Amino acid sequence: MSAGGRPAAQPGVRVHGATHVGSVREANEDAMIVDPAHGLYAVFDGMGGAMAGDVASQKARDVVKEYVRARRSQMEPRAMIDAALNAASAAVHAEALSRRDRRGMGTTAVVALVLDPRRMLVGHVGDSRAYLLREGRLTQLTRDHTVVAELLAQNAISPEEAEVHAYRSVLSRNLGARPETRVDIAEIALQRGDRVLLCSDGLYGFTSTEAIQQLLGSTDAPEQVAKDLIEAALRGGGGDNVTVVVIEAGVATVPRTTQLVRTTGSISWWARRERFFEAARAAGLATNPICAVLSPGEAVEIVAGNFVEALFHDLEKATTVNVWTYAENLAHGWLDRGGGWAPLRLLLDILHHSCTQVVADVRRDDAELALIVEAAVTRELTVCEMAVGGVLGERLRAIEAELVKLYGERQAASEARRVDTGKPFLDQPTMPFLRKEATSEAASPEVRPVLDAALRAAMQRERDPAVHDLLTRLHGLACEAAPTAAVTVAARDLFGVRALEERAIAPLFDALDRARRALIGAIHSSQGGAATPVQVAALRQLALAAHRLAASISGLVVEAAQPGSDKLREAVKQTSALRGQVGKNEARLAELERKFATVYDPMAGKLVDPGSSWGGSR
Amino acid sequence: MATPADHAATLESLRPVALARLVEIRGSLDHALARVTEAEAREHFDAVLRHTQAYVATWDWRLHRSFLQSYIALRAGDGMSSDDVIHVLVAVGDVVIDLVRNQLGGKPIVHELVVALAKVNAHTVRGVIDLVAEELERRRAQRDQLLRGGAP
Repeated sequence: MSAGGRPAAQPGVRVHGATHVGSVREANEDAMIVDPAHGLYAVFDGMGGAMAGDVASQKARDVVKEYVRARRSQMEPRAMIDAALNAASAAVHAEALSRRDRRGMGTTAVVALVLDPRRMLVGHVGDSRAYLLREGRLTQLTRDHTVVAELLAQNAISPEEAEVHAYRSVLSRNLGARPETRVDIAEIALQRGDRVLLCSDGLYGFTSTEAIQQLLGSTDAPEQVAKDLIEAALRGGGGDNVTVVVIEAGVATVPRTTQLVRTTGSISWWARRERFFEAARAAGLATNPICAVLSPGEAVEIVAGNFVEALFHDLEKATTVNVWTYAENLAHGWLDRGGGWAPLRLLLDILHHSCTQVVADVRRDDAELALIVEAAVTRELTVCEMAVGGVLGERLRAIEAELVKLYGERQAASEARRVDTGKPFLDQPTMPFLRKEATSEAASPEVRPVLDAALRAAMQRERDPAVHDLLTRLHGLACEAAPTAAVTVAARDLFGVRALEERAIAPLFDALDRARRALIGAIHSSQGGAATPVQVAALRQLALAAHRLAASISGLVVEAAQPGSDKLREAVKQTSALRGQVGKNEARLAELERKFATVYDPMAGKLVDPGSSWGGSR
Repeated sequence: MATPADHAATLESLRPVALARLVEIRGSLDHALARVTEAEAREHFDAVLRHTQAYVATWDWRLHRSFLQSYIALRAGDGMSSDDVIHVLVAVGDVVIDLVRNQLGGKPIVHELVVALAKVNAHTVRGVIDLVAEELERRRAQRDQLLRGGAP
């Protein structure tokens, strides 16, 4: 990825541009201008193949840049943009005529000229877009110059027809097709905090509007936003070159909340760590059963010290150990040793209480900063609890799966003894907790024919191709010992990468329900009367497969909708890798862990031999 | 310094906007709500927002825990795990926090309200994981009983 951006010469405006070749194309045919000195920003998306596309976009970029630089102070801005883009069109057209291999080349253009922090002109030709984000809401400032968009504007076709129209990517205007072109120009009145995004279709073609809105609306600096947008497009498939320019107007003269937390807030937290230790000691950290075999000093050094450091890193947005990892390790370490919930709850509450004391101290010096730090620290405590919640949820799902198995065995034994309990099989006793982490087993040789027959019957009954697809996949997952990855792949195929819209998600879940019901119905009707043990087993296989598939699809929806959660996972992953490098305290920790593990087992309540590890070594 | 009642009143004034936003992005927040009508989703989020206001006004922990208990049970019927419930409720809180920052930017109450909402999120997660921990204990007992051959 290449990037362009430097401190804006215009006060109150921050800008950053970035471009990436994408995951499929070999060459980058996009070009951009990031020229804060002249308030000029633009994105060009070249076309023409055989290297002509990048020639067109670069030619147009150079012409527009030179034109504006030479006339910025002499011409009326609107006329200047119009003339600059026409000059670019003429130059690209002339270049196309000059060589056979460049015939037909052209480029789109979207240009923003920031007149002052409150006014901007946006001119465009083609389907590169400008968006405005104001108060969290995203508005498209440009209308694509495509054949289909023009037909749609004339009400010649419906929005539904437009979506599948064969010419939906064909441009009705571009730079280079003719020496002159018609440019659409609009003046935008900017407000403090507005963000404007210029982008090529490699962004909006592979990223949902909602994701763009979320990323553009984050409190991160334009550099980070541009990087995140490019990453979102790559995650969405990266099927085209992608270029973005993020312009932030009306930047506040006082630092933003996040900046304050990263700087003053984190420093303030770190400076008061002794206060945290003191509060933790007073609240009984050292006597908590989790720390029982450590000396008071060691308990503070390890348990409180690591938390303080992790929270400091989170506040300043560093990528070292964070509170999520800290809490996860703590919970795993303790629960893996058979420790109970109460000491863990107590320890989390001690950490919470100690944070409150630190915030109270900050408040004495600076009430306003204290509010900001308190919000950030509370958020961190929430993250901490969420991590522990994940560990508990994981254990709950495991025990639910165990219970399903035990119930199943008991029911099978009961059926074998021909004892009719009179209770029908229910496919949802504990299903909410199985999710995709559950492991599946292949259908037994007795169950397989029942599932096969059910598939045949359901296929005859259902006509919808979408339901047919799901019937086949459900049947496959129910029959085979599908690993989680296979379920995720199936869900990904069904979900697609560009369909994050209500109208795509809801029908998918409806089709899944219909497929599941059709198979269940077919199994039930395969033999009249009470269900046989084989039918029960087939229903169980099917319910598990349906639930895993639904969970995977949900996961993908969340993943696509919340790039933030991807970032979090990525951060956790990076943290995990970096943990190995932390090193300097490792020898000390290992020694203490050994001491901890060899001296006392809280469950046995006695001295024991070396056992499992504890704390930050997972 | 604003009172809890002021916070609740400010949240009440933001509720229509918050509702519209939550309904708009419900597909990303909650797969089960993506499948219901807009009116049903609105009703659902409205209940959550009204409870949040009540909690911000009273900080009645028992009320909050009771709400969480009912909510988890209700959502289990939609196939939502405890993790899902945590994420949905925290996401709803985050959306409201964003709205407070965006809609009330510059007003003195903003920081206080953001802190209050952050606390609601923290209390919510704490409440849910306490309930999950209790459920885990019950399930363990159930399993042990099954393994011993007794009735669950």
